[in-house]
Amino acid sequence: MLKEYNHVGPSLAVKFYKQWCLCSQGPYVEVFDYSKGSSVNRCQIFHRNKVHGIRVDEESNKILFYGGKSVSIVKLNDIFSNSDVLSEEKVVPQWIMSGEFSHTKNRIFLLTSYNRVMIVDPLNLSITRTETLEGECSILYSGSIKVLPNQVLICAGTIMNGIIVWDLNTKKKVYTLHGHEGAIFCVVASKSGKLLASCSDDRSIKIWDLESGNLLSTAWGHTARIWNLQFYNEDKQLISVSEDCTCRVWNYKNAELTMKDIFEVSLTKNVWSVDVEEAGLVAVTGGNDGRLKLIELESRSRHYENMEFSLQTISEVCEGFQYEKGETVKGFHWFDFGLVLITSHGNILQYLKFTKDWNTLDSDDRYASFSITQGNGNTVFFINNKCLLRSYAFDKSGSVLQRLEFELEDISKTVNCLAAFNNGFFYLIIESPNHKDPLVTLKFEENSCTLTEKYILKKPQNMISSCAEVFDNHLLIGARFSLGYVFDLSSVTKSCIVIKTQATDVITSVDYVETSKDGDVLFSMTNRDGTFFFFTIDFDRSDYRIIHTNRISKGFLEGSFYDSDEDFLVYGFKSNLFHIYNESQQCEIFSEPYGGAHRQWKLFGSYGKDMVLCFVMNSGLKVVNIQKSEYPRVLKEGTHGREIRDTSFQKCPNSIDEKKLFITGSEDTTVKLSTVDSNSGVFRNFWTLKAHVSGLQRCKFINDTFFVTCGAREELFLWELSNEFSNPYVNLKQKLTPSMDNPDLRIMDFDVLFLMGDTWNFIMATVYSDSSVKLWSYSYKDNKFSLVIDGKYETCCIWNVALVPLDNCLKLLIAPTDGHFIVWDITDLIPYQVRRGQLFEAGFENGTKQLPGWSNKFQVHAAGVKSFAVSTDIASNSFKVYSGGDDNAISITNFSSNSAEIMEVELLSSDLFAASSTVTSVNLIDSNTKLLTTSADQIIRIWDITHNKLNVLESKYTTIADTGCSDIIPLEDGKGYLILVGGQGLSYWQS
Amino acid sequence: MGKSSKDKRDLYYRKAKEQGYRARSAFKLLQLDDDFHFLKDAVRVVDLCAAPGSWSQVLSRRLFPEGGNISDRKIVAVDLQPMSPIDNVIILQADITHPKTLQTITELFEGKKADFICSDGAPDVTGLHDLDEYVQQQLILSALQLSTCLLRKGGNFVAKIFRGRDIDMMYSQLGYLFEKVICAKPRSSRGTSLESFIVCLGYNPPSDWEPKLDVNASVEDFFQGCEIGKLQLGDTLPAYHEEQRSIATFIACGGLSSFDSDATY
Ligand SMILES: C[S@@+](CC[C@H](N)C(=O)[O-])C[C@H]1O[C@@H](n2cnc3c(N)ncnc32)[C@H](O)[C@@H]1O
Repeated sequence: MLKEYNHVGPSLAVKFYKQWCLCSQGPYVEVFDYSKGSSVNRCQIFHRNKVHGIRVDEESNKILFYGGKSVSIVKLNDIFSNSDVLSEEKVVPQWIMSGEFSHTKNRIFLLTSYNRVMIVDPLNLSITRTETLEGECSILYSGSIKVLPNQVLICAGTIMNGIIVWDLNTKKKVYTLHGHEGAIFCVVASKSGKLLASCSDDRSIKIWDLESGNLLSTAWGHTARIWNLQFYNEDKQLISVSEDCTCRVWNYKNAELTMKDIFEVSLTKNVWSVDVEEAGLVAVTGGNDGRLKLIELESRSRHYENMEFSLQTISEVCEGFQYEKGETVKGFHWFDFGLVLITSHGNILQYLKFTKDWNTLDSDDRYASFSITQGNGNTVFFINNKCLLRSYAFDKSGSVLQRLEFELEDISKTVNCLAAFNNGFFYLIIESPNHKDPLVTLKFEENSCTLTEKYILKKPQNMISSCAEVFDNHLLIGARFSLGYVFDLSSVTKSCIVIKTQATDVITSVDYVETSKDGDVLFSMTNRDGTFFFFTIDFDRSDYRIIHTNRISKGFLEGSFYDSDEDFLVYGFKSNLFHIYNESQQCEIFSEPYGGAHRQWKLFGSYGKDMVLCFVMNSGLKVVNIQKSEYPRVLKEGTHGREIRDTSFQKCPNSIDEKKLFITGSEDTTVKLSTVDSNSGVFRNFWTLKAHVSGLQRCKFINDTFFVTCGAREELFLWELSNEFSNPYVNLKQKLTPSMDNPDLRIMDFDVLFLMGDTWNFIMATVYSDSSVKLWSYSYKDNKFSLVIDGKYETCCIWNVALVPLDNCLKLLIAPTDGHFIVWDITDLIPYQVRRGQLFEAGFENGTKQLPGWSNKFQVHAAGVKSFAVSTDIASNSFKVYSGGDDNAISITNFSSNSAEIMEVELLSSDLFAASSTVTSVNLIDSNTKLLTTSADQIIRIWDITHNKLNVLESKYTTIADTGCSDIIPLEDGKGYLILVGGQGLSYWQS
Repeated sequence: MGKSSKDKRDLYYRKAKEQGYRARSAFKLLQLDDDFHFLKDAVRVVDLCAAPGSWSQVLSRRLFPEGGNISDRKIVAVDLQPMSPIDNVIILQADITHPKTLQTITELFEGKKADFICSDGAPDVTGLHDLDEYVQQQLILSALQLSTCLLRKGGNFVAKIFRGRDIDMMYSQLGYLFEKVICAKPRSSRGTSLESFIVCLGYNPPSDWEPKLDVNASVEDFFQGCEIGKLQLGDTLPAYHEEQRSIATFIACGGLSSFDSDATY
């Protein structure tokens, strides 16, 4: 039996109720305890329709759901305990725009798509009245019902006639509100019933006076269409969500609507739903990507005392410090007790945060103009360009315990000083501008100024250091030109390892991550241009391997870390903001306006505890507390915001792990690497790979370690997966070189065949939207694709390809948009031998051959073949193709071969009415005795195909619209399958 | 659904430019007609959701081959958007879901019947699949409503559809009114989009049903008696049930030799 376990897709209704948050996703409503972030229950409300609206009435303990033509009135408690309330679903002849309880709660109003209101008795669901407004029954795009103590107002948003407000009791029009351009997407009255807010195709929000019908204010801000509006805080505030991925908060005051805050809440297009909790402290939004995001509207941390100091004002309260014009902050360090800073005139000042006092520690013009500051737990070091090093150690309250100064004689001058920690030691790495000078590393006991060791390292030519890390006895330096250097501190004469990356900017951080069970050591590295890497080092063999490369969506990248939930966080600058971004979940978690590039800044402490951002501003300093949010940031992780075009499980038949790894490729140009928990169905995303610049066509695991992705611009990428660490990592191993500069030339599909007994080297067929057909061979050793066969079918686009090895020949099968199958015999064109269905090295000469004329062409479908699956029978030298087409049909075609060249083709079976829309995926299961198909009519079907006949065994509706792809792997015990279905959203099934 | 920047580059776009059509959609109507020949003897036609007007151009060229005025011929084009004039086409800017619009069109025909009604209508796509699909179906129902009032017996109706989850319910409804209902996909329509066209041949309404336009009745009211009955006062809302569905025959139009709009040239 097919059963859906989890589903992530557009969330159209969200609603706070007490400490819970009710969120719709397809026909389901999930109940969350929002402050904990835990899911309490998931309840299926409707059979097929999506839930578009939720209304709670506490008095009668009832809850109203509506969506499409479905409506349901349910006991409130049932939503917390039942897995479904399907028996309560009722249907209405028209689409429901809005529903509301009456003032006395003994009626329910349903506004339907042609501006009609049905009045229903909630007890027996009988229709007591149906009302319309005479002459106004064109289709609506939006609508709401405002229930007032002695009046019910219907607010209808039309396509081209503005907003119509009418009175349900008198059935008279109250106002027609003109002013918006285009269709009205949302219209909603305020709590008091005095104001009306509306938005339309024109992207503006208008506030109307419901007492006079006058337009009060028009506000702009959203950069795309707005879908939902809601008043809160006694009509003084309004919240909106939009196609532009943001949620915005607006203040309404003195008849003017002005924007207060912007929150980026979704990844790609469309945030549909929003609700604000009673006290106005937290909002929830639901996006097309399925993400349920909580927003702290008035959080304590946002009002947390941030500090701003200017040297001028400090000098007024700080004894011994005389501010001079032009004096600036040169360096600083944040401690638990407060701050120590150094100015451009060599004044060293201390701030004690508990007493708010400023002291002058020293005033030394040898440290004027140039100084570098580094520190740790309770010590701070200043170094000037003449290699003079000054240090202070403090006690908990900030009193100086120790003050030291010495001159470093190993180098002639200082340009840079970096810091690193390891195992209770603090390291200062000091660099000279003179490239003949060595790189000096000083090792101190942590939290004291006691120097324990000095390393004089040979500095590689052209190294300009930018960041450092120490692990065991190894010093890692990140540098300009995106290079990394690894020094052995136990053997300073040994030459260093140079880590080369593809990037060209400057490395901004290097960090130790973890050591694997086998002793492999993992590091991460960020590059200012937005790229980040994970690499392992084999210290014995002086070798390294980059196992992950990715980049952030925009901005400058300064550093990264894993948080306590094992999410990967990155930080840096995005336009004029400093921000921290959760790269695993793809959402922003902190942002703070920042004066602009090239300012000095530092991040202290650790995330989730006391993290402090300090940066230089004007002739002063700003200190910003970064607090972890009081609420979980997301109630449910989302997936791609746009259509998922393909999905594939890692083919790991022996894996006993409950979490199955899979990839999804989307129209949004990204590939996501995630896991699904096979028991609970919970998805977790690890990486959103951003190497593609065009929408994806296909992505497939070709064995346990490699997967291939392809799309427009002739993009085809080979990725290598590493499984040895606690998280999976992937590296873009190789790309196909495009043959021309046509952005529209798409690689539609590919198929791969590995050499016998080999998991590294393979041949690959690719098919294109300009009818090209190519065959490549891939050598892992050389990391190179070589073009083996090149040619064209006709002029039409080719959707599918398969390499089919038979007894002693290799067939190439394609399916273009003309509904045919075309077969070539390519045995003699490849530099390999084919024996018993396997590919063997043959040592034939290489070089590109032309694709000859096809050997078979056979029409099976009336339109393009969307997907096929092949089963081969080596013994009889034949294969069968199971195909699904744009013509709604599914077919079984047999190809058998007596001679090597031309095959005999026979259509064994065909169901022309297999689906009511395009059949988009076919998968063979149960030793090729069954077929699983998905189609754009949103039905998943299982077919019995024994005896070459097509019989539907099971069909199940899926709420995933634009159903376009699926993948399937067997469960460990052989007792069924795990199934992923993708489209507008992603769902996980078991059979 | 949804447009993409690809439209600008594709071959049909270039062909439309060459032949003076306002949009590449012209080829969809031409390719549909190649298979079904509904324009052969058409004299009076309505083009619903017509802007920018490439279908109207095709109709104008076909019905008025010399560009001259043939008195009993008539083309009425309707859209929400304004349209620049086309020879021999009467243009109306209106919402076709509004009963008044249908009344205006009917009046323009002065009691005469139409031979062919087409609608290439597509709603302002929101991205909410189920709502977009519903509005699309309402556009078809509005077009169909007009057809029942205006189409001669035996006349033909063509409308754009998106083959989503409920399209089979639509097929089933249309089956009551026409002799033949076919789902046709011209080669100029992308295989990667869910767009296709419902071709309804031979208008033949149930004999006991008299269509009547009423400006206070919505499209859905209109079809009562011809499909599921409307709920009455006192009725309780019916429980969820599967509606009747049927699958229409699929035909690809335009011949395999014509250009494929998914291909890159
Ligand atoms: C794809 S275009 C039609 C193209 C046209 N057949 C051509 O060849 O130029 C769809 C049109 O449907 C129109 N439309 C959508 N909803 C409508 C409605 N309710 N009433 C009238 N026109 C509508 C839109 O304004 C749009 O111009």
